[in-house]
Amino acid sequence: MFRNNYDNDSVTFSPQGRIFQVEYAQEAVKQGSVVVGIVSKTHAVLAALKRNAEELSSYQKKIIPIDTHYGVALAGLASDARVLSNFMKQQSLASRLTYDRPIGLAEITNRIGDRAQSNTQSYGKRPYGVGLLIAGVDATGPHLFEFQPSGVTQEMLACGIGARSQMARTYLERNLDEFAGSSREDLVKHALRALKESLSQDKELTVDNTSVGVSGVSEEFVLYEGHELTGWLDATFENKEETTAEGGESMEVDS
Amino acid sequence: MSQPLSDDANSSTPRDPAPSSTSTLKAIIHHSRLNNTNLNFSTSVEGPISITQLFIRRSRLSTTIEALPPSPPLLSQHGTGYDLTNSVFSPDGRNFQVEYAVKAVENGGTAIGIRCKDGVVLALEKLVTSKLLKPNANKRISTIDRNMGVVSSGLLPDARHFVSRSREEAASWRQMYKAPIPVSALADRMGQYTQAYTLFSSVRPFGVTSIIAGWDSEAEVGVDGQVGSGPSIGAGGKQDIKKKGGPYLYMIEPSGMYWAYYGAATGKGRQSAKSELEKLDLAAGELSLEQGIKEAARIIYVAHEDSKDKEFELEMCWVSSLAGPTKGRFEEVPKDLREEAEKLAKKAIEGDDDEDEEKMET
Amino acid sequence: MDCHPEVWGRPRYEIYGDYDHSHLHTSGPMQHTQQPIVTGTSVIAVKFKDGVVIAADNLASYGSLARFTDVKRLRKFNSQSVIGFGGDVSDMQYLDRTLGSLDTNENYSNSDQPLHARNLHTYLSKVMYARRSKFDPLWNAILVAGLDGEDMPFLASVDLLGTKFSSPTLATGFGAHLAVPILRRTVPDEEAVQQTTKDQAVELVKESMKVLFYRDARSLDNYSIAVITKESGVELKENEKLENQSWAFADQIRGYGTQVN
Repeated sequence: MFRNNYDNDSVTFSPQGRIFQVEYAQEAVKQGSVVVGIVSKTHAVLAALKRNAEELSSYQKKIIPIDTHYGVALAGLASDARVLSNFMKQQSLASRLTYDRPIGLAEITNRIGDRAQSNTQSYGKRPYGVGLLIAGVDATGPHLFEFQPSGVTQEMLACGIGARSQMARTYLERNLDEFAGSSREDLVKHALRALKESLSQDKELTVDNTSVGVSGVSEEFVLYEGHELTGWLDATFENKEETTAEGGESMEVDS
Repeated sequence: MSQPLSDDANSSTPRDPAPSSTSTLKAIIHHSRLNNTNLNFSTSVEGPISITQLFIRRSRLSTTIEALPPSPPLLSQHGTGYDLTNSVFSPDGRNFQVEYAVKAVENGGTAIGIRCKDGVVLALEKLVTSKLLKPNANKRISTIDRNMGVVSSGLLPDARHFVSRSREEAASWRQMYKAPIPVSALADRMGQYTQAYTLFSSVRPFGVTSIIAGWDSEAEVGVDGQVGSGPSIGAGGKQDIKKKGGPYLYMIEPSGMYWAYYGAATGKGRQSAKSELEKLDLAAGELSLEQGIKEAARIIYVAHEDSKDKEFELEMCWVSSLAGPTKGRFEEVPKDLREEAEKLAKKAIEGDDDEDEEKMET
Repeated sequence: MDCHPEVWGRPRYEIYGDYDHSHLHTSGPMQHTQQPIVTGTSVIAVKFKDGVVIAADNLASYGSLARFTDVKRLRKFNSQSVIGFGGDVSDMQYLDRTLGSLDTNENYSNSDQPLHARNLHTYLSKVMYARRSKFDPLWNAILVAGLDGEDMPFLASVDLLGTKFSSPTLATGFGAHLAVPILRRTVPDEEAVQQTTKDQAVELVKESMKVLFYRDARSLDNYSIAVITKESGVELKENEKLENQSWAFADQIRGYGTQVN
């Protein structure tokens, strides 16, 4: 039987120049439930689908506010995300203490990227098994960054990661032109619709399984959960019945 | 220098019909020299040739092989177990992990550097992997110190590691000498650092080839933190010292090998980029920086021809003399100049296509 | 060389041996800086409605000896701040290099979000406080003049203890006693700042520099002056000469200058 000899650690290149351990870590991201992020000229929004282990258990936290101006959404190993988010919190506070300045989003993203990279070049370490979307507003405006276990970080206009997130990305690509000019409300709706696209047929977005994080120019990052979401969910999916009949069409008309 | 390389290729692995016209750029080699020692391991290798130099020949060799249709010789070496760990030699003296790292580079977007008479330009073909990426963000050419920068091809996170180490080296040089690091010294330090990652099984080599561009100041630079000019008369008065300065371009490969270049190219489209660079006769030192950015843009467009279906963004940075447009600082090429260069590049490409069609018709 | 990447590029154990800690354990109590050696005197600054004016003379004294007469004690930091240093000149040079590397770091990301004067002042105050907490202070009194995040005039001071405060008029050293009262006559508060024009502020500072030269024996009539505004950024002149000096007032004063009795 064929056995891949090049995938035992992250310090071995395959003959094609790939590092399988890192690629496998990227797979861990795809195991996590979907999260979506979008930016407009004024706002940055995160939306996430939360999972619970069983009916009676609580839901897994998906969006972590880091500083007053930004937060992250995670897909993959939540414990790895905690390590990274604690690091980010620490760095953000250091920036405020030393310079009296909220840390730039590109800067903090680079710092976790560099941290993740060092895990891919030394024996005995493993790559992080989590993908992050970092969204917020700094001195240069709203930003959204994607972080991958490989240490790759990219600034995005919109992004979705996690299980079945391809559907969300397809939605985002189709509506990409609208985002820049969108209002706060519209942006949240877009994020929720993108999230909905990635859900399996029998699932719905509810106040229990959805998280939304919003930050804007001169507006702090706020995490919305539970009943705070009722309004948005109702407004976004008001014609729920029709959608099952006509597919996504009717949802897009009003945007 | 290109000739011995391909000769070696022929003699050591007779199976590859390596073309004698392997397009390898003429390098200004001060720091390390490839002598004409044949890669015959049954006879003892001559004195000062270093292990890494051998590696680099081999990685150059694999570059050659890759350009040819099927490449069974290299592949057939797999599975013997010598390619599973870094820092391990195969019986014929190769470090496979370094060669595999080179493979990672060969898949990256094309990066080039051109050393002009009054400055240096770096250009990068940045492939757009998703529509959702923010346009014109995600810059990949990085500043190391005020007067120098680097562009890499290969694994992005490794490139960032390379950049942050370069910045540390530049900073520590300043700490020690209270002056900016010369480009040659940075290339040397980074070459050593990169090479260290081929020595141990606890790490893997860098999956990047990096091009460093910089301008060593031609004027006398004050010591960092200097607050006055010292006595104008008497003891301690200053003498006029001739400073060299000028444009410099280096390329560092995953093995840690590096050369100084007139024109350097790496990444997916390096072959066509190299042959375009060779046409420029850069060794003559006649090309101006202004012309250089136009050529750089054109070469990136030419190199992109092979992967035409993918979109890309052109990123360009430059550094000039103190009297030039960047005043000795490493900066992004201004948008209007870049766009003009791109326009000319597109025109040149279309022109070539027309010619091809005409040939076809006749 | 060993297999730990983090030590690569550091002095090699095989060659240099263990790090020599002996200099850290000299016999007797450890002594840090007890006094500044080569010193600069006052720095004065005043806010006006569009910006800040800051000035300091070009002298570095070695005790009472006027040792260096072309020492530039106003240091420009990017295009919207100037830092004026009083006190030890070598510590000033150290801080200048520190700020230089800070500026280099800031320029790595080509985002248009430069450190403004307020960030800079906070940073310097942390550096100064950290050093005094090691009982090894940087012997300086510093004024930071420039624009804050909202492009409003910013002026604040920090000293060797890390003490920091802000005011529409500020001066270090002798200037705190001799120049501040004069500056305050025109600019007593933030309200007055709004009434003051650039020309008035520059004139005021020049007059104060003259008084300082009359009264401060460690001063020079050669000075640097900088104006920071949103419109023109930093206008720094480093070789100004005090004009219209009149020593007539000294005629009857005993013990002034070379006249001893």
